[in-house]
Amino acid sequence: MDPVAAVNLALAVADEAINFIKGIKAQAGLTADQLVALADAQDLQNKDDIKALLAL
Amino acid sequence: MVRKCKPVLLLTLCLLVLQSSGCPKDPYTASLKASDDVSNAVHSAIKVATQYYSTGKLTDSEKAAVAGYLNTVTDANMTFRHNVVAAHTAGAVGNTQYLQIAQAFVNAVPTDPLAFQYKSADAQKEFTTVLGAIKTLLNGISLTISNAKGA
Repeated sequence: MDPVAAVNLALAVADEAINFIKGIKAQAGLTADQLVALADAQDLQNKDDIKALLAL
Repeated sequence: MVRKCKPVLLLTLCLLVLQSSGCPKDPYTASLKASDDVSNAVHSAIKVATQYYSTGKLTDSEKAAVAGYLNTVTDANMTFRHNVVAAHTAGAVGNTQYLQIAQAFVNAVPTDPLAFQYKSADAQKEFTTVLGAIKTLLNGISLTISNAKGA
């Protein structure tokens, strides 16, 4: 798979996961601990995605 | 009957939505919500950068500048959140400490992304919007904390 397609696929998968959590968030609201966990996961994903973008 | 009830039902739903999306309960939660918003905005910017670079609308040096900015914001955001949690765990009361931590976050990202220049007019417009949104979020964190209930 070419690198651009791989990065786009990774972003799409991350989007799906984040959107799933956001769906729960919209329904129930998040506690402080859940906000931390969500933001931590997003930032780690962002770091990986930035590395992938730079590698293109 | 149904027609008369619809406006009332819609108004009730609007009020419920507004209430659920209103100001966070406290400065701690407000800080974490702001941090989460920044993370999401960075994620969106990475997606745009990837799309623009893969379609030739972003040069290598422009990509590097955008990625470098997003990386700096992400690192500073992680530090911000870590310091917010540490302050809360240490028993921070009111918003003073959270505001100081927020200011440190803003100071850790001195680059103005609106000063970036792009060869493509389309990229100039798009990244001014996308990176401008991140800048606005960063500059708005202190206000969000100040407006939190119980601040």
